[in-house]
Amino acid sequence: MASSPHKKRRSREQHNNNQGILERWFAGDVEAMTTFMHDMSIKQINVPKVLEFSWLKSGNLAEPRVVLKHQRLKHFLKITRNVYPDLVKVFYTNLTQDGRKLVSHVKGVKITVTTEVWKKCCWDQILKTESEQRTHDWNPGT
Amino acid sequence: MSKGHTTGIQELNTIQFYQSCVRNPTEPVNRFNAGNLNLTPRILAYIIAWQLTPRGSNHVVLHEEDLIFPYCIMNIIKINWVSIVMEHMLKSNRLTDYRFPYAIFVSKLIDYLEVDTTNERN
Repeated sequence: MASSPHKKRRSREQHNNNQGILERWFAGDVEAMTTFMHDMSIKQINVPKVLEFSWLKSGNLAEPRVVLKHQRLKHFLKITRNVYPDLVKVFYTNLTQDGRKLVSHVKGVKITVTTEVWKKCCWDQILKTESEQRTHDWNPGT
Repeated sequence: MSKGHTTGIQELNTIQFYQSCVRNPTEPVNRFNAGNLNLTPRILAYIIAWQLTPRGSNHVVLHEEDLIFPYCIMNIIKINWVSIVMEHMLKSNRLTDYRFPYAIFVSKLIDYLEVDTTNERN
């Protein structure tokens, strides 16, 4: 059965709208938009999980709490906030490695992930000072 | 995790470590399963599988790194988590059957760098 002119118009408007959104997300980068449409858009995002350290405390689970604190993982594990699922996919679509940095673009803004960014943004306590490290380090890939 | 990443922890024997962590050490080891572990290593294994190097499925089955990380954590060996997380981001991006990890961190980065998020789904 042939589709009605209304449906055709609505479908064309939807397509134009989607194209506009993609151009905004990728700042007009046609190659990235193609990759996103064919590969990345179908991939899912891992459901974010949060660890309540108060639960470990109330459950008398001292050992996991202590060892995780020693790894300075407390802040990273308990962090909670709204997420932008579409922009996360855009971030990963544009993600590249530049030496020991990760570089991506979202809406034309360059995002460089370095240790300093980690410290400021999410992992504010993980790398305080080298002298604080009481035991030998294990640095994979270095 | 490639073999090169285990530099510094050559003393780790994954089977012995797994057996030292299980509730019933007399049971034969058919496969590494988080459900058989004692409380602390089991909690750590789940935290690793869900949060630190998250994956989409098989959270109960322990991979090699699921034993290396608890071993290091429980033996107070510092791990460079920034490096681990960055590698996991690249790996998840490269492999089609992996999901995108660290949505909270990436969203925080997006806000931190003041990307316009007006009208974006969240």
